[in-house]
Amino acid sequence: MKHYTPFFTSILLAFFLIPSLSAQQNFTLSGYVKDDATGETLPFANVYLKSDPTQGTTTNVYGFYSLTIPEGNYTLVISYLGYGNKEIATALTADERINVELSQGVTFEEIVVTAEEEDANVQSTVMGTVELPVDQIKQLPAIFGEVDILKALQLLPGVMSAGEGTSGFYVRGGGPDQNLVLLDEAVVYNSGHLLGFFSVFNADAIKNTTLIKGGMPALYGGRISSVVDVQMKEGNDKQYSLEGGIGLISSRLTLQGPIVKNKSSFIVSARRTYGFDLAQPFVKKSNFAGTNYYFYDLNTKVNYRFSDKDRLYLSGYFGRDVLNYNLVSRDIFFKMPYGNATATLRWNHLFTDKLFMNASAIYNDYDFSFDGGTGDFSFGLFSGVRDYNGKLDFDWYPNLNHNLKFGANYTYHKLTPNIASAVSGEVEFGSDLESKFAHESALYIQDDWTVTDRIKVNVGLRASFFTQVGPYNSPIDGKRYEKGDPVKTYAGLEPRISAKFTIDKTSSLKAGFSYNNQYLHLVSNTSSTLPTDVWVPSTELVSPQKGIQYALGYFRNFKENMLETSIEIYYKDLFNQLDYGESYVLDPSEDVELSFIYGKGRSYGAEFLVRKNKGKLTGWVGYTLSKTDRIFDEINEGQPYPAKFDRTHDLSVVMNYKKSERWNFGAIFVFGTGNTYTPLQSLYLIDQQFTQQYGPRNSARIDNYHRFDLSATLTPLRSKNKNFKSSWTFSVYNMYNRLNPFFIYYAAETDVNNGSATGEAYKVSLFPVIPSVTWNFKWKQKKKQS
Amino acid sequence: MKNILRFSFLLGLYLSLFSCERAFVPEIADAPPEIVVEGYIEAGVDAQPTFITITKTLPFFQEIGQDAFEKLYVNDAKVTVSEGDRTWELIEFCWDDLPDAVRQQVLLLSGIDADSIAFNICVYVDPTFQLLGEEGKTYDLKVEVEDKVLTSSTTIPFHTPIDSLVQIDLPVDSLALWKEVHGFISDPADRADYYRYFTGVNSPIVRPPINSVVNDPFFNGQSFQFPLAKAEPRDSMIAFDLYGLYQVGDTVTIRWANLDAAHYEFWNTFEFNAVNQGPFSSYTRIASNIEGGLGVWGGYSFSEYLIIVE
Repeated sequence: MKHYTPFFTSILLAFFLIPSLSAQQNFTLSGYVKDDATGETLPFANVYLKSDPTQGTTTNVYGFYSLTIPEGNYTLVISYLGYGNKEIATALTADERINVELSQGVTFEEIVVTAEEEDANVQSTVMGTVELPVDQIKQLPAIFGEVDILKALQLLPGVMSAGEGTSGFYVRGGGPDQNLVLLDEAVVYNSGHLLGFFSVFNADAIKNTTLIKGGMPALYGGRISSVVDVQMKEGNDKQYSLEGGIGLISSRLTLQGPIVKNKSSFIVSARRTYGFDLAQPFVKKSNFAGTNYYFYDLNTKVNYRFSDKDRLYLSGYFGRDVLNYNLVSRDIFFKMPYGNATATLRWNHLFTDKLFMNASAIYNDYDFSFDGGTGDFSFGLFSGVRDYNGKLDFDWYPNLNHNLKFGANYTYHKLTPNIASAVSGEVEFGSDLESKFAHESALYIQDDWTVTDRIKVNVGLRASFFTQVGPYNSPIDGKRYEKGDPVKTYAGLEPRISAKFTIDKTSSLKAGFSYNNQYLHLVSNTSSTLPTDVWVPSTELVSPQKGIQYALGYFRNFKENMLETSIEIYYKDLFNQLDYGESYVLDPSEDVELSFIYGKGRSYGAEFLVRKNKGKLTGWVGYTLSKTDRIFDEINEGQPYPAKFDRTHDLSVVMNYKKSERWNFGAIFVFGTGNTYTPLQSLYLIDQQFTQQYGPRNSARIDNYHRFDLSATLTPLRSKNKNFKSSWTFSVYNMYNRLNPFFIYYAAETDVNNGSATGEAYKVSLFPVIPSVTWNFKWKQKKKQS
Repeated sequence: MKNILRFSFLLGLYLSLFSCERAFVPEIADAPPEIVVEGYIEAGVDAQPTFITITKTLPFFQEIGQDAFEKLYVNDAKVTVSEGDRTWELIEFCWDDLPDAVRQQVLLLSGIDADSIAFNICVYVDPTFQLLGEEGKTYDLKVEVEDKVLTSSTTIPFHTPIDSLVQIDLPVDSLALWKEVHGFISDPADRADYYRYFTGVNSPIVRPPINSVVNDPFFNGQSFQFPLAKAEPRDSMIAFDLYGLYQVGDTVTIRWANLDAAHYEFWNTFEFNAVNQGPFSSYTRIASNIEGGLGVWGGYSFSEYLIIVE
């Protein structure tokens, strides 16, 4: 690692010197970009000079921008996906604050298309990053009509679904625990409901989703594959509105409005499923009385703007899956609640027009519990993660050529493995497993640096530190560490760099390198992650995971940026990868870290994307050609084998056609090489019955996966009540009823008496053609005449 | 934990309202047959004589008829068991070669069900029947066959008997004629214990239930009560709410055994292998304690109990 340090130090020093050398009479234009109907700030909006579109910036995650340019007359252009552009003329003779409001839903004809409009796709240094505004996601067909952000991300190149219908995903050959999923900066440790079939993100409460699959900026850390950064809406600070929907699986309701107009607002959004509730009258009369399953989510956020310089946000999420099971005749019962809770308090402060600060205090918690029993025997299991996190992030815009971000991050982790307890009559049992504790911290600095007209570099360095602390019993030497005693410390420098070379106005070449450490791990012995899987920290036994990624990309836009295209190739090395051995059996009395095996992985591939963001027909075609291997000494005799999410071909075609104000159509087609699985190889006789011997891991594949979905949204033309709008979404999942195998299983029938046996294999498909209908509505308070 | 996985299948059941299942012929891994050794050595009252069977694996996807069954057995192996400086050489006996009188004796001694012998089973036994297991001793096995040498070692642990048995009523009248049988044990605190049990109904032949093994980290040193489920006949479909229950009038035989860690791992992975299939499951490779092959060489110390369900 040491050899990186002098190189990066010199780069950092160089760009700190540049502003002073080039000092002249410059002024700063700064402000916020917002939605004019709701007052929501718009993150990652483009702000640039009409006269020279390469001179510009983007708003940060809080909608703030700052441009420092020489004195003069300028026309500022502000653009944001799905919104009409806005042009503002200004004669800059002093620092100026310009807050801009953009209008959503402007039709194609109304959009101001500047001939030389800057395009972020080609011009930015960013690679492997996709913004998906939730309004775009809502236009896509969805299984059971449930709009799902994480499932929409799976349609992007480089992102693989963990399985049919699930919201779990793998990015560029990385495991499911290598994705950093953030909701208003809080880490979401389990992003799935109902065993991962639905994500915890209620689309009505979400403003924007950013996926970073490569070239992770230094701002982010702690995971080696990707970042999914989800921002909740802030709440409408202009008028009250109530929106919701009724679907096959769940219903949603969201209320938002101003607390103090244009200063403070709130949003409360809730969602709950009711499939099993409807069956309760029948269940009550059966041997399963008391059995039920549901999940719910609650998102809330309030914010208060003290001045243009200070704003406070408080947001929270609380979600639970609840499964209760009863078998009356045997007095068997269990309850299995699990879910996440997060709370984020943020303070935005502008020190100057060039220096923006965000300070956050974050709490998050994921817990899983199981309580069950029969007669006077009961059994309980508990696991979870709890974090206390403090963050300080600065955005500094010293001049047009530099946008620096720097900050610090500290988290106190408490990770509870499966702790089991039981009672049999008067006797109590318990394992001696304890929660594990750790301090994780990081310092980072990154600069988006315009070196020349053609070359732009995003260079960053993250220094991360991790210390496991007691209580802990060392499995190596048996030493007892008491509370707070440091057990093991890991530290690492994580350099990140991406560079862009502009070929011409419509095309560019980009290259990136990133090095990441990951100190928390989730290892699953199942085909996808389940709520029962536990997060574990790095300890003296478990080393941090490390990932190195190299990427190269060619970006080109056509037809005045109507069509964005890109080709990205990547190569990724993964070290200290964790897995369970092939003979692992779940045992709640044993610390899982004693069952891990360690190996490495690599992934490489090419991703092709054609995306059309404007016009009546929008959407994208994404194709990935890739290969992902793992190598573990204990598996397949140390030979490389394909990872369970190795998918040679992965194609997604996503289309949205806005036929009229009344009708909107969406279509999705996906194709993927069949998943790997471990085939049965032979049978052998033990205790007079045949038992199964498996072949090499992941040495076979199930059928290729493909599916076509369609949706149509009917928005009846405005009723008498202009403040009330409703729409019907009709959706058909798996239109041509493709029976894609979800899993396979084997059955061997042995009849030793007659000396005969038969082996059979079955493939099971879960989702045939599924039509669904959802009714959505939105009520807005009447606009008062001002 | 295993149960949680199973319970998660209930949610899978909900999804299965939509699901569709089809038989298919998957790719068959082209692998040479492996040698499988199965043998036990016991310490306890009326312990079975030590015996070893040696078979081969068969490719999975085929109809296996009587011919194939008979070819399963590997003949002409040199099998020795040693403990300390004592060594026994085991001799192969095939069912078809035995005179009728000896067959009857073998059935009596081995407890093997005569009905289950539809083809020519071959076993390796100590012809003197002097090879009996003793608690606390380690027995090394060596099998030389087809230019291969397979070895294993097992220790017969000291036995922890069941203190007492009790019958438990069920909470609903509809199951008034069914009972659970529970046992009490006092687990020794000073050692790691691994247990396995077998049950038999109205017959001295005992079989293991679906989950027959347990180890003691969770209850080390405790005295407590636990259920002893009825071993259901193989391939039988038992109603979920009748699983493990005994009927009033049943004469129940319980065999309660201690085994060593590697032997326990074999059965623990063997049983998990059978259930670790399904929508979210992976696979489990059975942990064999045979070097150079598959299977198990296992020592037991055991005790047996009878209870009549009333």
